[in-house]
Amino acid sequence: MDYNKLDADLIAQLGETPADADEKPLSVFIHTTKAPGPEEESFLKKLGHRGDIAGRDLFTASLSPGAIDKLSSQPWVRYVKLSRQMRPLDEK
Amino acid sequence: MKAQKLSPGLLTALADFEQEGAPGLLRHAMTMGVVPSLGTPKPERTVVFIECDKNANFDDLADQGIIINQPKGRMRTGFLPLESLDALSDDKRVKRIISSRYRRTRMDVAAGRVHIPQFRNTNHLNGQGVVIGIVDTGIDPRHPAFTGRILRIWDQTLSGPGVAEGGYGLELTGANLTASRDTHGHGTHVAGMATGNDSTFGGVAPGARIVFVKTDFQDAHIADGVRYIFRVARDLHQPAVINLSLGGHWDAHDGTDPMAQIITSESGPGRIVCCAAGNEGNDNIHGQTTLAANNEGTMRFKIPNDSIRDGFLNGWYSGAARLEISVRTPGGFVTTPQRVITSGSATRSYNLADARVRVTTPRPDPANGDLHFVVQASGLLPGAKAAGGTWQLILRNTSASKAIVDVWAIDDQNGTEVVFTGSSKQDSMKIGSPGCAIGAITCAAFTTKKQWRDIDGITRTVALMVGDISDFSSEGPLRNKVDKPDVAAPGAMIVSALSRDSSPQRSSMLDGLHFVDAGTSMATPFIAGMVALLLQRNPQLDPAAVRTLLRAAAKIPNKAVGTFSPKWGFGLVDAQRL
Repeated sequence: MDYNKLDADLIAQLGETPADADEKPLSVFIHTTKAPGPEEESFLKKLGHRGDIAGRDLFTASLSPGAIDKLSSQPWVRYVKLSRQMRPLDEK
Repeated sequence: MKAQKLSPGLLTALADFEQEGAPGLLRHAMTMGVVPSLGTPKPERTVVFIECDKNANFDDLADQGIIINQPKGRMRTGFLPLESLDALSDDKRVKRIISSRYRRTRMDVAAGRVHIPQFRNTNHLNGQGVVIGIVDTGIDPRHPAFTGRILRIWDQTLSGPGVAEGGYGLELTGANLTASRDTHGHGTHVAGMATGNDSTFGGVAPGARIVFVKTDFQDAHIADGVRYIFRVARDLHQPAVINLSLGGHWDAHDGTDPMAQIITSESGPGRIVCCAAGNEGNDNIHGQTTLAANNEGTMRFKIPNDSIRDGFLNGWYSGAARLEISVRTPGGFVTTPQRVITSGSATRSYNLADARVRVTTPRPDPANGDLHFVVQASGLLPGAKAAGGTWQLILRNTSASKAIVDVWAIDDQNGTEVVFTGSSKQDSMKIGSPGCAIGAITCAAFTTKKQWRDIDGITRTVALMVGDISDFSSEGPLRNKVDKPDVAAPGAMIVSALSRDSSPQRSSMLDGLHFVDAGTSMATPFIAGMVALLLQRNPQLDPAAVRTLLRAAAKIPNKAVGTFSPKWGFGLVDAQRL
């Protein structure tokens, strides 16, 4: 795992132990150095990514900790950040 | 009797009638269309809305004294004896019977306060030809305020193949729209304000069409929803404005988090996003301290005794500074000072005598170059919550220049629990993501109403100052000193559409179709509706042009146009000046 590419929230979520490929997937943002080409898209699909990246360098995915481990070691991945829970903003 | 088909107001009136007879109806005659029979030989009757099969013929009901005013349609009006409600509710053709309420002959006060009707009438605008996209808790597709105008719902909470922007959830159109429900009610209320078609509590742009994303509130999925709505609008060759009445405080409060970046990059000519500023104006969720070179400082924060979850802190400071971070528990135990960890996992757990504390201190964030730390305070046993009491965040600046540290306590669906106390608490920088998105229009809330009559005829009053900025509205600016919020709009107390699948308190319900709510959530669809009108006038407006127009039409009372305040932004927008 290249922890230098993970944000603090994702590092905290993963904890101090090595990532387990079978753990529950996490929603993440992936920022790449440039829009992924066919090779990178194929790699992402093998990790379980679904959806159209369409020439973007910032997109979302739902990946297991094991997949995040593999992804973080790719040179074309700039960083991976954990998706966080938002809430409606009324005064209830 | 199928009571579930009767609106709450009708059920209440019926119960009073059964218990007290005709006199029991008198209290309802003030607010709804019931006609007591006092002194006449006629039965007690009521005016109602009837939701029914579109082509149902009700001629057979005439001999029961039931008069249905329209021969066709899913929502009709009728006049009928109260005693006939029993049989009518059992009728399979009838889906729902809703009490008719007395209305004022003008729009509710909020729209009038900012001259929406005048702006629409003068410019002949209603939002037609514009898509209003909303990412929220869902929408009630059967509510009459939206009839025939919902194009698609991407329900991210249902199982399905997803859409191009994300392989999850289910996209619904046409008759299938009703498979998606708004059990929370927030999204339907928001949609009603932006675009509801209602003679009394109508939305700002009732001619617009709606693309809705019912989200699970993961910010990654909210970002996918933004991309989805803009793609659908692009396919329709129509401009779009997206309403995001949601938020959180996990981010850097400077617009560099991924969701804010996506909002900014997806926005452009004919593609505008409006975001709520937040409701933490009365909550001490932000602390700030300035540490001199080679000096130490303390920030106190409080976790309530009845806390139901772990306490989280989200801290940020300049990438040029060097800090050591430790945490002191209410029992006085302290974690080891922790610097930035550059090798392996940057998280460390500390098992103290009265708590477990996890501190995460990675390298600078590549999006803004700043340093970020996260503190998680938990109980000692697995699943146990953090000890209540006053905690301390101890920060030592080991660099040769001063360091400014901003820290936010994290809220969740249950609201704010952890708050800062002492000198570090700051009434500023409380606009989190997506309100901090540089490309978005960020909305503060203004109070136009504090009193209403609920479904039971009881007058309700809240402690807000009418004609002033709402005290709960979150303050800016952003951590990088960008001016936010942009503008203010009516956000309290706002009457709008009620989802039939939600269960608000009766005190906030006005009838079976409307309820009252408050928040920057409510201010945002006002602005989104105004933007829809502006896009109808000029479909090529980009975020900068919209911001310029709105700011120029806004004003803080007793201040010159163009004056910024962290609470008001550039002031309350007056649509007549757009």
